[in-house]
Amino acid sequence: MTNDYDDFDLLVAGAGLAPERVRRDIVQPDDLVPATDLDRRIVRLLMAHRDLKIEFRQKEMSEMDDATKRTFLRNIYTMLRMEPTVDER
Amino acid sequence: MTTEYKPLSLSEATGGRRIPARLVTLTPDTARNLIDDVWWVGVDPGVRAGEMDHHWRWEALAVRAAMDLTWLVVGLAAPNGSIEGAMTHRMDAVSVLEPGQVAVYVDRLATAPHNRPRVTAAPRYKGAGSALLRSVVEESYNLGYAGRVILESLPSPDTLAYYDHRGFVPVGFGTSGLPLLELPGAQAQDWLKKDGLL
Repeated sequence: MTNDYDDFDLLVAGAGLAPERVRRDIVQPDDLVPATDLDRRIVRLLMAHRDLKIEFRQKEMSEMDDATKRTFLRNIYTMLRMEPTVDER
Repeated sequence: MTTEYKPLSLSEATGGRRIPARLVTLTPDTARNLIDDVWWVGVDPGVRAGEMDHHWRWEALAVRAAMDLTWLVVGLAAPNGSIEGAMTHRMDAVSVLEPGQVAVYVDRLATAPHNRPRVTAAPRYKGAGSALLRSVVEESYNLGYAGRVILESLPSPDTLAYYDHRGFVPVGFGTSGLPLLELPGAQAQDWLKKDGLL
Protein backbone atom coordinates (compact mmCIF):
# COMPACT_ATOMS: atom_id res chain seq x y z
CA MET A 1 0.00 0.00 0.00
CA THR A 2 2.88 2.35 0.63
CA ASN A 3 3.14 3.46 -2.97
CA ASP A 4 -0.55 3.37 -3.77
CA TYR A 5 -2.16 6.21 -1.88
CA ASP A 6 -5.64 5.44 -3.17
CA ASP A 7 -5.52 1.93 -1.82
CA PHE A 8 -6.51 2.91 1.67
CA ASP A 9 -8.53 0.23 3.32
CA LEU A 10 -7.33 0.62 6.88
CA LEU A 11 -9.29 1.79 9.84
CA VAL A 12 -9.42 4.74 12.15
CA ALA A 13 -10.58 3.72 15.59
CA GLY A 14 -10.31 6.63 17.92
CA ALA A 15 -10.71 5.84 21.58
CA GLY A 16 -12.31 9.19 22.15
CA LEU A 17 -11.04 12.68 22.62
CA ALA A 18 -9.13 13.51 25.76
CA PRO A 19 -11.13 16.03 27.82
CA GLU A 20 -8.57 18.75 27.25
CA ARG A 21 -8.99 18.35 23.50
CA VAL A 22 -12.75 18.98 23.53
CA ARG A 23 -14.14 22.37 22.67
CA ARG A 24 -16.48 23.41 25.48
CA ASP A 25 -18.32 26.33 23.94
CA ILE A 26 -20.56 24.34 21.61
CA VAL A 27 -24.12 24.15 22.86
CA GLN A 28 -26.75 21.79 21.51
CA PRO A 29 -29.90 23.56 20.41
CA ASP A 30 -32.82 22.79 22.69
CA ASP A 31 -35.59 22.22 20.23
CA LEU A 32 -34.02 21.67 16.82
CA VAL A 33 -34.31 18.34 15.05
CA PRO A 34 -32.84 18.59 11.56
CA ALA A 35 -34.99 16.76 9.06
CA THR A 36 -32.65 17.09 6.10
CA ASP A 37 -28.93 17.39 5.36
CA LEU A 38 -29.49 21.06 4.56
CA ASP A 39 -31.10 21.61 7.97
CA ARG A 40 -28.20 19.82 9.61
CA ARG A 41 -25.69 21.95 7.69
CA ILE A 42 -27.30 25.16 8.93
CA VAL A 43 -27.67 24.01 12.53
CA ARG A 44 -24.08 22.74 12.79
CA LEU A 45 -22.71 25.93 11.28
CA LEU A 46 -24.61 28.00 13.83
CA MET A 47 -23.42 25.71 16.62
CA ALA A 48 -19.83 26.23 15.47
CA HIS A 49 -20.25 30.00 15.44
CA ARG A 50 -22.25 31.04 18.46
CA ASP A 51 -20.63 34.45 18.21
CA LEU A 52 -22.99 35.15 15.30
CA LYS A 53 -25.80 35.17 17.89
CA ILE A 54 -28.33 33.86 15.39
CA GLU A 55 -31.29 32.15 17.01
CA PHE A 56 -32.92 29.56 14.80
CA ARG A 57 -35.90 27.63 16.01
CA GLN A 58 -37.69 24.51 14.87
CA LYS A 59 -40.75 26.46 13.80
CA GLU A 60 -38.69 28.76 11.59
CA MET A 61 -36.84 25.84 10.05
CA SER A 62 -39.99 23.91 9.27
CA GLU A 63 -41.59 26.96 7.67
CA MET A 64 -38.71 27.59 5.27
CA ASP A 65 -38.54 25.98 1.86
CA ASP A 66 -35.22 24.71 0.55
CA ALA A 67 -34.52 27.80 -1.54
CA THR A 68 -34.97 30.02 1.51
CA LYS A 69 -32.74 27.77 3.56
CA ARG A 70 -30.03 27.94 0.91
CA THR A 71 -30.25 31.72 0.91
CA PHE A 72 -30.05 31.70 4.70
CA LEU A 73 -26.98 29.44 4.51
CA ARG A 74 -25.30 31.72 1.99
CA ASN A 75 -26.00 34.68 4.26
CA ILE A 76 -24.35 32.90 7.17
CA TYR A 77 -21.26 32.25 5.05
CA THR A 78 -21.24 35.90 4.04
CA MET A 79 -21.40 36.96 7.69
CA LEU A 80 -18.51 34.62 8.42
CA ARG A 81 -16.64 36.04 5.41
CA MET A 82 -16.27 32.51 4.15
CA GLU A 83 -16.47 31.05 0.68
CA PRO A 84 -17.53 27.40 1.03
CA THR A 85 -16.17 24.65 -1.18
CA VAL A 86 -17.41 24.36 -4.75
CA ASP A 87 -20.09 21.78 -4.12
CA GLU A 88 -21.56 23.77 -1.23
CA ARG A 89 -22.08 26.96 -3.21
CA MET B 1 -5.82 26.82 -16.58
CA THR B 2 -8.90 25.57 -14.77
CA THR B 3 -8.88 22.76 -12.27
CA GLU B 4 -11.39 20.03 -12.81
CA TYR B 5 -13.66 19.65 -9.81
CA LYS B 6 -13.33 16.12 -8.51
CA PRO B 7 -16.52 14.79 -6.97
CA LEU B 8 -16.30 11.74 -4.76
CA SER B 9 -15.53 8.54 -6.54
CA LEU B 10 -14.35 4.99 -6.13
CA SER B 11 -12.10 2.87 -8.32
CA GLU B 12 -12.96 -0.63 -9.32
CA ALA B 13 -10.32 -2.81 -7.72
CA THR B 14 -9.93 -4.72 -10.96
CA GLY B 15 -9.21 -2.48 -13.90
CA GLY B 16 -9.26 0.76 -11.95
CA ARG B 17 -12.32 2.27 -13.66
CA ARG B 18 -13.59 5.28 -11.76
CA ILE B 19 -17.20 5.25 -10.70
CA PRO B 20 -19.13 8.05 -9.04
CA ALA B 21 -19.93 7.83 -5.35
CA ARG B 22 -21.90 10.05 -3.05
CA LEU B 23 -21.72 10.89 0.60
CA VAL B 24 -24.85 10.05 2.58
CA THR B 25 -25.77 10.78 6.16
CA LEU B 26 -26.57 7.51 7.88
CA THR B 27 -29.66 7.19 10.04
CA PRO B 28 -30.02 4.33 12.51
CA ASP B 29 -32.18 2.49 9.96
CA THR B 30 -29.83 2.92 7.01
CA ALA B 31 -26.80 2.10 9.15
CA ARG B 32 -28.42 -1.16 10.25
CA ASN B 33 -29.82 -2.11 6.86
CA LEU B 34 -26.85 -1.15 4.70
CA ILE B 35 -23.92 -1.87 7.02
CA ASP B 36 -24.63 -3.97 10.11
CA ASP B 37 -26.87 -6.47 8.34
CA VAL B 38 -24.73 -6.89 5.23
CA TRP B 39 -21.06 -6.04 5.64
CA TRP B 40 -19.98 -9.23 7.39
CA VAL B 41 -22.33 -11.67 5.70
CA GLY B 42 -20.33 -14.53 4.22
CA VAL B 43 -17.04 -13.47 5.81
CA ASP B 44 -15.16 -16.34 7.41
CA PRO B 45 -15.55 -16.01 11.21
CA GLY B 46 -11.82 -16.40 11.73
CA VAL B 47 -11.06 -13.64 9.28
CA ARG B 48 -13.78 -11.46 10.76
CA ALA B 49 -12.38 -11.89 14.25
CA GLY B 50 -9.07 -10.51 13.01
CA GLU B 51 -10.64 -7.22 11.89
CA MET B 52 -10.70 -4.71 14.70
CA ASP B 53 -14.05 -3.25 13.66
CA HIS B 54 -15.88 -6.58 13.49
CA HIS B 55 -17.98 -5.72 16.55
CA TRP B 56 -18.84 -2.13 15.64
CA ARG B 57 -22.57 -1.44 15.43
CA TRP B 58 -23.10 1.46 13.08
CA GLU B 59 -26.75 1.64 14.04
CA ALA B 60 -25.77 2.50 17.62
CA LEU B 61 -23.32 5.11 16.35
CA ALA B 62 -26.05 6.67 14.24
CA VAL B 63 -28.40 6.72 17.24
CA ARG B 64 -25.79 8.67 19.15
CA ALA B 65 -25.35 11.10 16.25
CA ALA B 66 -29.11 11.62 16.10
CA MET B 67 -29.03 12.78 19.73
CA ASP B 68 -25.84 14.84 19.56
CA LEU B 69 -25.54 17.18 16.60
CA THR B 70 -21.80 17.60 17.05
CA TRP B 71 -21.50 14.04 15.72
CA LEU B 72 -22.09 12.90 12.18
CA VAL B 73 -22.19 9.39 10.73
CA VAL B 74 -21.70 9.24 6.99
CA GLY B 75 -21.32 6.56 4.38
CA LEU B 76 -19.91 6.48 0.89
CA ALA B 77 -22.58 5.10 -1.42
CA ALA B 78 -21.86 3.39 -4.73
CA PRO B 79 -24.31 3.92 -7.63
CA ASN B 80 -26.29 0.83 -6.61
CA GLY B 81 -26.76 2.27 -3.11
CA SER B 82 -24.37 -0.05 -1.32
CA ILE B 83 -22.24 1.56 1.40
CA GLU B 84 -18.58 1.07 0.57
CA GLY B 85 -17.14 2.83 3.60
CA ALA B 86 -18.39 4.68 6.66
CA MET B 87 -17.10 7.22 9.14
CA THR B 88 -18.07 8.99 12.34
CA HIS B 89 -16.69 12.37 13.24
CA ARG B 90 -17.33 15.15 15.71
CA MET B 91 -16.98 18.90 15.33
CA ASP B 92 -15.91 19.81 18.87
CA ALA B 93 -12.16 19.14 18.89
CA VAL B 94 -9.49 21.71 19.55
CA SER B 95 -6.39 21.98 17.42
CA VAL B 96 -3.12 20.80 18.89
CA LEU B 97 -0.98 22.50 16.28
CA GLU B 98 -2.79 25.82 16.29
CA PRO B 99 -3.76 26.76 19.85
CA GLY B 100 -7.08 28.54 20.06
CA GLN B 101 -8.31 26.97 16.83
CA VAL B 102 -10.82 24.17 16.38
CA ALA B 103 -10.88 20.98 14.36
CA VAL B 104 -13.01 18.03 13.38
CA TYR B 105 -12.06 14.73 15.02
CA VAL B 106 -12.49 11.50 13.07
CA ASP B 107 -13.66 8.93 15.56
CA ARG B 108 -14.07 5.90 13.32
CA LEU B 109 -13.50 5.12 9.69
CA ALA B 110 -13.85 1.79 7.96
CA THR B 111 -14.11 0.55 4.43
CA ALA B 112 -16.54 -2.24 3.71
CA PRO B 113 -14.99 -5.65 4.39
CA HIS B 114 -15.58 -6.68 0.78
CA ASN B 115 -13.10 -3.97 -0.25
CA ARG B 116 -10.31 -5.17 2.00
CA PRO B 117 -7.59 -7.35 0.52
CA ARG B 118 -7.11 -8.90 3.97
CA VAL B 119 -10.72 -10.09 3.98
CA THR B 120 -11.40 -11.08 0.40
CA ALA B 121 -9.31 -12.28 -2.52
CA ALA B 122 -11.34 -10.11 -4.89
CA PRO B 123 -11.94 -6.65 -3.42
CA ARG B 124 -14.64 -4.64 -5.15
CA TYR B 125 -13.50 -1.05 -4.84
CA LYS B 126 -10.50 1.03 -3.84
CA GLY B 127 -10.45 4.57 -2.58
CA ALA B 128 -13.36 4.58 -0.14
CA GLY B 129 -11.13 5.58 2.77
CA SER B 130 -9.54 8.42 0.83
CA ALA B 131 -12.89 9.69 -0.37
CA LEU B 132 -14.29 9.68 3.16
CA LEU B 133 -11.22 11.41 4.50
CA ARG B 134 -11.43 14.14 1.89
CA SER B 135 -15.09 14.59 2.71
CA VAL B 136 -14.29 15.29 6.36
CA VAL B 137 -11.61 17.78 5.35
CA GLU B 138 -14.26 19.51 3.27
CA GLU B 139 -16.70 19.36 6.19
CA SER B 140 -14.12 20.98 8.44
CA TYR B 141 -13.49 23.70 5.89
CA ASN B 142 -17.19 24.40 5.45
CA LEU B 143 -17.67 24.66 9.21
CA GLY B 144 -15.09 27.44 9.22
CA TYR B 145 -12.37 25.24 10.74
CA ALA B 146 -9.98 25.82 7.81
CA GLY B 147 -10.01 22.10 7.02
CA ARG B 148 -8.23 21.04 10.21
CA VAL B 149 -8.79 17.35 11.00
CA ILE B 150 -7.48 15.24 13.88
CA LEU B 151 -7.44 11.46 14.09
CA GLU B 152 -5.70 8.55 15.73
CA SER B 153 -3.80 6.42 13.26
CA LEU B 154 -2.91 2.79 13.41
CA PRO B 155 0.84 2.68 13.99
CA SER B 156 1.78 0.67 10.90
CA PRO B 157 4.41 2.31 8.67
CA ASP B 158 2.15 2.09 5.62
CA THR B 159 -0.73 3.85 7.36
CA LEU B 160 1.51 6.56 8.75
CA ALA B 161 3.05 6.99 5.28
CA TYR B 162 -0.43 7.47 3.86
CA TYR B 163 -1.24 10.25 6.31
CA ASP B 164 2.16 11.84 5.84
CA HIS B 165 1.49 11.92 2.10
CA ARG B 166 -1.79 13.72 2.80
CA GLY B 167 -0.06 16.33 4.97
CA PHE B 168 -0.97 15.05 8.44
CA VAL B 169 1.52 15.90 11.19
CA PRO B 170 2.20 13.83 14.34
CA VAL B 171 1.08 15.74 17.42
CA GLY B 172 1.47 13.14 20.16
CA PHE B 173 -0.62 10.18 21.18
CA GLY B 174 -4.34 9.71 21.61
CA THR B 175 -6.19 8.29 24.59
CA SER B 176 -5.70 4.80 23.17
CA GLY B 177 -1.96 5.28 22.89
CA LEU B 178 -2.10 5.38 19.11
CA PRO B 179 -0.35 8.15 17.17
CA LEU B 180 -2.43 11.33 17.13
CA LEU B 181 -2.21 13.16 13.81
CA GLU B 182 -3.47 16.55 12.72
CA LEU B 183 -3.99 17.91 9.25
CA PRO B 184 -3.12 21.64 9.43
CA GLY B 185 -5.37 24.11 7.66
CA ALA B 186 -2.79 24.98 5.02
CA GLN B 187 -2.29 21.35 4.00
CA ALA B 188 -6.04 20.74 4.09
CA GLN B 189 -6.65 23.62 1.73
CA ASP B 190 -3.86 22.42 -0.57
CA TRP B 191 -5.70 19.12 -0.84
CA LEU B 192 -9.04 20.81 -1.53
CA LYS B 193 -7.46 23.12 -4.12
CA LYS B 194 -5.78 20.19 -5.82
CA ASP B 195 -9.17 18.52 -6.14
CA GLY B 196 -10.77 21.70 -7.46
CA LEU B 197 -12.94 22.29 -4.42
CA LEU B 198 -11.57 25.74 -3.63
